Amino acid sequence: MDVTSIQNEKGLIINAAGRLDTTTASDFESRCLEMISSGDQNIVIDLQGIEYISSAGLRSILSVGKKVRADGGNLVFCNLKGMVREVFEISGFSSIFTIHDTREQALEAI
Amino acid sequence: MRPSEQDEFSWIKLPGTAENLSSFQKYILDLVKQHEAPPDITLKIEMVLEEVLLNIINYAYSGDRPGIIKAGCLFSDEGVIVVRIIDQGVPFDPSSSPDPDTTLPLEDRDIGGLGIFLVRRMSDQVDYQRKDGQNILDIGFRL
Repeated sequence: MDVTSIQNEKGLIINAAGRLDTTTASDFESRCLEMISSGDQNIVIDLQGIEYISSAGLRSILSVGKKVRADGGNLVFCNLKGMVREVFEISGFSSIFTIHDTREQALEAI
Repeated sequence: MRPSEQDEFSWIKLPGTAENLSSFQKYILDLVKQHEAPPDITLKIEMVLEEVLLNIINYAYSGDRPGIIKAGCLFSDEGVIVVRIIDQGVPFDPSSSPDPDTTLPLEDRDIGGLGIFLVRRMSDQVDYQRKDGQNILDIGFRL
């Protein structure tokens, strides 16, 4: 699991790569919470590099989403591929979060 | 679609611990890859194994000692991969547990039940039977 962030003039972009499963989800969650604690209002999580996700991964995403929302921020996702897109749709995460096809579109919209 | 008792499953049998999850997955996925299943189905089987096995590991057995879990896989002539998971824990039928409400807004969403819901939606069929004190779960994937 690789989690990095880039500060853009429009917001904070978090780039995640690898697997979001029962062994990596808590690490992903704590890394994200650490990155957003600097008080950024607009956050884009780019999931391009995520090839596998389970309910443990969804749990960590939900937790990050609730934290950003509680802080009055805005969290969007982009670049959902294959299984990740399918799991987001089935679980209703595509409705509770805003999803963009590309990072450019996400940055434009926030 | 339910395989008969005579069908040839290949089995792995290990104590149900979180540490053994990857061994279960590796054994089944190696077989699935040998049968040249497409990558999207392989990923779904991997996820289904994570959800079902963790559920058994976390909830099926009380006490300190992990129960034994048996996981097997069968490739039918009709182009269906059947993953069978057997445990001797408390009775639990994943094929009929209630669906979570996936329409709730973020603030009200709770993650409970989502794993089993994903199992049902990412596979083509889920069949459960309780027999001789065992939970026997068959999860089918059409190639």
